[in-house]
Amino acid sequence: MSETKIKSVLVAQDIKTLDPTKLTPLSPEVISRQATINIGTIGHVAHGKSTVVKAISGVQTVRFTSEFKRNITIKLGYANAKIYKCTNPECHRPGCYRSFRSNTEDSPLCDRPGCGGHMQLLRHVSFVDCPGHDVLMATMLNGAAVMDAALLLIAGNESCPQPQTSEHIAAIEIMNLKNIIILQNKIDLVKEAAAKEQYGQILKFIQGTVAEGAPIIPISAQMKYNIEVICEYIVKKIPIPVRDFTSDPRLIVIRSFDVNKPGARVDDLKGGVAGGSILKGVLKIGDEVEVRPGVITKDLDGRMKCLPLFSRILSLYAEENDLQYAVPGGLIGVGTRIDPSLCRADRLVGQVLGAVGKLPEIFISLEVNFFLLRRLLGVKSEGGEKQSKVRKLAKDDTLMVNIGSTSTGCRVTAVKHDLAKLTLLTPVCTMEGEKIALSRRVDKNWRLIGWGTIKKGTLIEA
Amino acid sequence: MGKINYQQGWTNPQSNNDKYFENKLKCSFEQWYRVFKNNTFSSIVIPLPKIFIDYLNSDHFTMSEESFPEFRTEDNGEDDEEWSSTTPSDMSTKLDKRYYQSYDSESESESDNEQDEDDEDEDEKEKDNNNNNNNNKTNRKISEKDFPELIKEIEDAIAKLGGEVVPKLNWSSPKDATWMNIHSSLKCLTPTDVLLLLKSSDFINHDLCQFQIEKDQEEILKDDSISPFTLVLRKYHNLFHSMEFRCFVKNNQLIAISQRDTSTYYKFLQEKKQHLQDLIQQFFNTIVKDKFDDINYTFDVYITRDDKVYLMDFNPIHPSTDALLFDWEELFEELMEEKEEKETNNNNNNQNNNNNNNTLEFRIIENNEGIKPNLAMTI
Ligand SMILES: Nc1nc2c(ncn2[C@@H]2O[C@H](COP(=O)(O)OP(=O)(O)OP(=O)(O)O)[C@@H](O)[C@H]2O)c(=O)[nH]1
Ligand SMILES: [Mg+2]
Ligand SMILES: [Zn+2]
Repeated sequence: MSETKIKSVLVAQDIKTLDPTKLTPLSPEVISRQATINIGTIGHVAHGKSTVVKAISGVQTVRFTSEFKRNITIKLGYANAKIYKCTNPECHRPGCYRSFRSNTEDSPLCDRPGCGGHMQLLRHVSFVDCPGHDVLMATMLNGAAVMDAALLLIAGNESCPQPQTSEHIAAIEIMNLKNIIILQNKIDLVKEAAAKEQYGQILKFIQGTVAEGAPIIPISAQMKYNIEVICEYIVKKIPIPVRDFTSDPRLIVIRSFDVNKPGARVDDLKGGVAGGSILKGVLKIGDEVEVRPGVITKDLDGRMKCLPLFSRILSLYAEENDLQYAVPGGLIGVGTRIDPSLCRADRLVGQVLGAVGKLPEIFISLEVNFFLLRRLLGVKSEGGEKQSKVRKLAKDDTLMVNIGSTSTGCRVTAVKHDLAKLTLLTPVCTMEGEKIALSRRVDKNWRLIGWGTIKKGTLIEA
Repeated sequence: MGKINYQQGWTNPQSNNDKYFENKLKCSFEQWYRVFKNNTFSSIVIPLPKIFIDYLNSDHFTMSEESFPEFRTEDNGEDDEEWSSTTPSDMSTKLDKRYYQSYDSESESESDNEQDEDDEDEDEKEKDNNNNNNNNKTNRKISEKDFPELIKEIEDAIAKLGGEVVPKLNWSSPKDATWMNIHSSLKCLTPTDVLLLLKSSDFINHDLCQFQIEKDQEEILKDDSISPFTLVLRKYHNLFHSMEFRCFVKNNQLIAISQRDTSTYYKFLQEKKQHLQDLIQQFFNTIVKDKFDDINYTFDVYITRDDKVYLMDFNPIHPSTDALLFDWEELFEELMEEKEEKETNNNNNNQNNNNNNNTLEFRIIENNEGIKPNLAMTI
């Protein structure tokens, strides 16, 4: 199979010579195997977000689930891509930029007829494909914590601004995203004059917003027109994110599973696997790690307790690439020796994995300093103007709270001015000063209503 | 097409889609459970009163202090009125007023529209008359204290099933809401666990859209009248997700099987594939075929380590059922809409159709493509 062939052309990683202080998000031995920059796609339903991600990465991120119309992304999707530039000076921009799947070798041959040169790997990016559906904007904003930049899609065959475009700009502003590339998509469907006119509309529209000065690229995701220009701009316009490689490592778990055959003998049992994104530091094979809060149990007198899990890292991977060590950016799989039945079916989601004894405390209630949106983001549903207003926080409200990438339920036990006390449904490993997002059930959907910062909290011993 | 009977006063809002709804009804849990009791996990079906449906439909979501599962520590007797800081944060002054409410301008903003909303909470009766029905439904304040008999019934059922259950309504389980569960799963030990999951799930909302109270019945139906909805409590098992499969039946023949957890690569499935397929085929032939009241449908199974096959659920052939590793067009081209796409796909589909007549295709994930988000969950 081609798999082994591909593997052999990736740069080797060696833990013995690893020096985290020398690593950057561009180190060849890192970007050969894993993504180091996260880019979100933002845009209205069916404006072509998933098609753009497919055109750049070769990966189809759309999965339909039963509850919504087909062809609509309803949850965050991920896809990684490598971005290259031909080293032959005869190859000119933008054609000298190319993107391929994440398992592609690091210096493939240039495909321009007659070039004969090799391409050089410049970036390895991870795309977070956000749902376009308005009511799902909470998902997008919650997942946004990890985005370094955004592609804002606008359909070229509709006039600008569409009502949702202002919402998206507001969302970008709220997320504090500074690096934006605007894509004027579906350019194949309009005449040149119309495209020019819309270009002018967009320029005017973004004046005075965070998107002012952002490059606007006319593209056709479907016809793969100008995809190289997107690649070029990702390389030239998106600054390399500043990452902390030297702190104690910390990974937030978004998946966990048991890959064993049911009934496998104890000797054959593989430990549980946790997947997620590294917030800081470097995880290495052989590292001793802790997972917090761990297993939640009730002791004899009915008191709840957390038992953190301890283990060693047996394997690491990003997409289909094996790693010796992993750094922040993209999603990483971590093979451990944890009892697999504890990892089954995403049981560890929302927990934190990292250096033993270095992880934050476990909180069971929080005092937060919060600020509420005036009205819900996203275009209103049938309910009309009234419903999109955000009602004040009240004692006894049951809300969704996102802390880092962890979601859980909470009950508001007291409110005073811009302070609130929240009792958490599940214990969360976090810190004072950490940012949280609050969502409330509105019109039967969970909608983002505001943000906050943790001031203080009640800890649980572990 | 026979007229479908459900509880008096209730109707299906999408009545233009009769055939689909008829199929959907056959897949309702209490319908198939009667027939397949011995081939599925022990379950208890609880008919739901109207008030509980109103409770689920309402946006009002509070839990009493006693029932919200709380972690207690030594010093948990803390005072809710004691605050760590009283000075306004510097943050709120930096926030963009276009997007954020400011609490210090409270007095000023309370004079405008926001006042209305607080009033509405206080004085909802009056508003009810002005606003449309939809609004009433999502705003009615009901708490778990308003249906104590049902709570008791749930409690008893949980005990009867061994103390740990998984809840669902007629069709769906709230698997998109496990973040609102203390065990990060569908495992429920108390009625509160059940309520928290049901009230937080989009999948449950989808079930709730299947029946509506008839317009002229709104005033007539009593809170304790029985609705067509049922709460199903099933005994909880710590299942291996790798061993769940969705099976597609066409013209009374098993034509396709798909791995259900499509986000994960399970290496061992590869070597077990043929064996699993034989087990499922045999299960279909002896247990399911001709006993389910239709010739086109999907059924989900779970296979235990000692090769016992259990029925998990039935679903109608419809785009709203996830075809997982298949495309509906490959399996039931003739039933799917999108006529214009048909033309271009004709060649492929002819081939597929031929295959379908006598072969069974079993798809699993064959490569490890790395960590992917679980699409059933909110991240
Ligand atoms: N003609 C044309 N069609 C396009 C182009 N890009 C996307 N489409 C089509 O537009 C439709 C929606 O595309 P998606 O990529 O699913 O859109 P999306 O923004 O990801 O949609 P959501 O995730 O549902 O918000 C699909 O049918 C695409 O084939 C383009 O450049 N030209
Ligand atoms: Mg999409
Ligand atoms: Zn070249």
